Amino acid sequence: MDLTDLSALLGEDLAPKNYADLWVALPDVAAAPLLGEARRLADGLGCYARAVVADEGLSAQAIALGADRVHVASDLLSFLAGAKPEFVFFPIRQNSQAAQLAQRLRAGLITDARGLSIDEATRALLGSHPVYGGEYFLDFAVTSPSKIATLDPRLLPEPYTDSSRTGEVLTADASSFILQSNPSPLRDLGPVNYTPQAWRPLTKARVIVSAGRGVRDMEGFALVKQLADKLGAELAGDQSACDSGWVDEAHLVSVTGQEVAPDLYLAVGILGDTYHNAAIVGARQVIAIHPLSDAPIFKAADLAVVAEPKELLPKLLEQLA
Amino acid sequence: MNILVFLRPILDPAGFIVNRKAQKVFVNRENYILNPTDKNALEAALRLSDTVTAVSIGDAPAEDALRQARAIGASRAMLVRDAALKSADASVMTTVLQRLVPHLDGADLMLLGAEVVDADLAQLGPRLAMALGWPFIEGAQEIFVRGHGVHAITRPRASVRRPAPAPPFADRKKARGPEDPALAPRTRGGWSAGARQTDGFHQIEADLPAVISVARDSNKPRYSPGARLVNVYQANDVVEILTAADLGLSEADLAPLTERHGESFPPERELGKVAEGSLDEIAGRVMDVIRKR
Amino acid sequence: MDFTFSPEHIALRRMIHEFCEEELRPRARQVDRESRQDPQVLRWMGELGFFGLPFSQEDGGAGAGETGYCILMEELNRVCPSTATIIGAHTGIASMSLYLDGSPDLKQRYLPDLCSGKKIAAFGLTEPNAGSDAAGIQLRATLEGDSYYLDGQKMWITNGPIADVIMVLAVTDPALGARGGATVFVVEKEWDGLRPGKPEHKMGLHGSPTSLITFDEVRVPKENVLGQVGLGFVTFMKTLDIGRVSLGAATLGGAQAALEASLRWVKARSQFGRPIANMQSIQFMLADMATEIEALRSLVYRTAWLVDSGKPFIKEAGMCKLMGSETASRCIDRALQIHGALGYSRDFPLERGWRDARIAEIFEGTNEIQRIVIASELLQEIGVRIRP
Repeated sequence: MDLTDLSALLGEDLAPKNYADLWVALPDVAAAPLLGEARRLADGLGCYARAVVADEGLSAQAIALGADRVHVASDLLSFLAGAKPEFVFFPIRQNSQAAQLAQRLRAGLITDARGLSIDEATRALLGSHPVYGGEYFLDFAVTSPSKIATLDPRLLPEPYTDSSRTGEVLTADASSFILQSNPSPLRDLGPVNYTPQAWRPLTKARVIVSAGRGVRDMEGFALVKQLADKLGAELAGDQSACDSGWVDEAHLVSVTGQEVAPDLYLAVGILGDTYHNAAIVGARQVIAIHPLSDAPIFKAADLAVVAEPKELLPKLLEQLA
Repeated sequence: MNILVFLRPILDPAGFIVNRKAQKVFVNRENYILNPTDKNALEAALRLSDTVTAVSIGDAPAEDALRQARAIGASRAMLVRDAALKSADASVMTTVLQRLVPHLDGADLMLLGAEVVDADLAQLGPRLAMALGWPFIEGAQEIFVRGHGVHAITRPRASVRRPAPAPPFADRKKARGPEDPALAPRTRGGWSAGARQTDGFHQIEADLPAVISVARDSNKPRYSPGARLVNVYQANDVVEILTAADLGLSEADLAPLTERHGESFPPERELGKVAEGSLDEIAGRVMDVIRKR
Repeated sequence: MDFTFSPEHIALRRMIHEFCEEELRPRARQVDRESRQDPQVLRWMGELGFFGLPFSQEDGGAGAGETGYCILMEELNRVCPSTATIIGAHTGIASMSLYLDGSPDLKQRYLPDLCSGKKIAAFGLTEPNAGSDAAGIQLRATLEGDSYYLDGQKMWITNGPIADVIMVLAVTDPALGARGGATVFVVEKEWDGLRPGKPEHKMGLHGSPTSLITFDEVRVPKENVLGQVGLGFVTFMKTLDIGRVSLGAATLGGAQAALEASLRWVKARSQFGRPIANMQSIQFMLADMATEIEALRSLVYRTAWLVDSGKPFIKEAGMCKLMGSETASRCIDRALQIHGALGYSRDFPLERGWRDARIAEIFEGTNEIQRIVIASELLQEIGVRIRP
């Protein structure tokens, strides 16, 4: 049954004035930057920033990060459905939950929202959604009484932690949950050994770590391989790497090998001749690491890093541990 | 079993160029192709059943997308076409599909692509599931049907209730989780309190009927056989067309909750920007970019 | 005048284009180096209806007509000429002769398998002593009771080493010679006395196997006569006429590939401080290539339309083959020049395209023969009959 039936049953009023405050779903600490965003916007609007957590242990942190009120609720959706939130932010890994809440609340939703702002006059939620892998963005305004967005915490600034902040922690009363006649839940039957089939892995890869002569030797190449593993990226190489036997022809990035178009291309120790550079024109972002400051690869890179790969990579691996 | 697949056309990226400086999209060739992940969804459906109904909302490009689906193997195609749907957002599309489902004889499963290249429509699947009262599984790599249930291999993202681990000395029967339904209402998208995220794949089970979004590149979509393709494109009646009125949709149903306000563009690419500072600072800069990819 | 392709042809091109990019392009280099195409890929193409694309659906084909077939040949040759040639010989001339002049019974016996790619066909016309002078063939077919006995050799037969079925032109009445006394036979490879030779080592089209075929008193039942006894030459000439159109389409694909590669390269390659696209010499080369290709495209698809509309097309077909083969060679050569040393590298697809394209000026009727055919048609229109 849909929301209008339910609200008729419970005698709810759907008028906008009943919706208040800015709520943030905080499933874990990784979503913390959303609180910073909420704090910023709540201050502008003069409303409360509320966090919803499942684990009571996160409440103290949530308050330090900027929440005025923290609600501990075991059933996020049912709780929020009853709480009449005006704005709700979820981390993008909870896109589905956000959508389900949006459907229950008859709310508009922007997923992977960038550049969020709130129109002071209309209280519309304004944000942009990336399309074609980020080639450009569609700008949206959410005008429903309740407005929801999902955000990528990695793209938001680290929030300011102030342990002297105080706030209320409320455990949600289960009877306040709006239950919906639900279908059966999903059941996790446990982990499975599954390797996704990779047809032409290099052409479909979203992140590629590529090695060249600048990594010096097998030791250096091993570091590159480690980096690729840690990032879940495809390993590739330029002509010298292929000639040295480090990568095979199927992983050669060159006009004589594979042309690639990943979201991120990490060129480690690749000098960057025309034949290589022409094969990465489709890459969305390129980071190039090479010891020579005049390496031609830098002309094709968004970020040019003049450094010895064998010195820099261990530092990167450290941060990825 | 009767499987529905929702699919959409997108503007072929090979036909346009984004000029960040001019803040414009220059379309050289207005060509539409099937949203790639919808092809994976169609393929997943065809692997499970011979009775696959392809569904779309839109105009001529959507009709062509449905013809393509028929040529690939879908046994039926339905298009909802109405001028009033021009500015439909995900919530409106959900309502349309919700009204459409009863028109289709006994649909057991609705599949759609987990990613939509050109619109904010990944939210369509979970919305529709909520509207229909069906369970939703996100990002399936593989799908199997077992009796009254469907299994999918996917990477769960805290959207699945895991059976609580059995306490060491308690009665096994009670170890299935909280007993009082009022305290722990069963939902589709609830928390798994304390569940840790793993990088691995899990097998998820749900009762049918269900909505499942299919992961990008999770299978190899089949091609349409030549003869079938020729016949589909020469025939006139391969796509059934419905209007908003046919589905009993009111003006309120068709009012979007989200408005499009144009496009914005990423900043111009600055090539050759050198990272400055100590090795540690440089490493930090690189990690910054990597994390935000 | 509406120059748009029909919906089924647009959809067909899209499907074939995708197949070629996903399945053929990554394998093309290997096909050339190992001199074979993956049988799985051929099976796949069979399932998709490529092997019988132009033929009517009643006969087991896909019903796409000559236009659809030209689209197929263009897209295939753009990516893997070896694979295109396997189909070109099988569908465009071998199966085509059966389609055009075979009795319903003979068609019913062989076409379904040929259309599905279950059986591969070859076109047996050329002999060691008879190339352009096709009427000089010497392979004899002697009637004895219910069977003909074929004896002689065919040479440079595309698909020779892999063909299950060969359409062979043999002299049945030496007194009348090939023109009035030759017959086409459908010969199966298992029959006694039929021996395909070793695959030829060619400059290009390595993945398209070609060989000599020896007929040593091969017994062919009367039922396998294709068309009418004594009129085989007419059948084969008719078949070659129509085969020229799709060959023109294939060369169009090759030229198109050269242009596309050049456009990508001139943007990527910088010399003297700027992309070479900025240099007039390069710009003129690109303009010339694009102009020729556009003209060829119009010629090929208009001729395909003539075929599909049942209008006369012999002159135009000859033009397609003549102009197509020479245009492709020119464009690919220019592209090689534009790519510089990279074009010469065997690791880059261009030199393979260059090697693969050359034969088009020679096989299926040399360009000299094409000129004779065109001149003959032209002069006929003004009442002058020339004897080749």
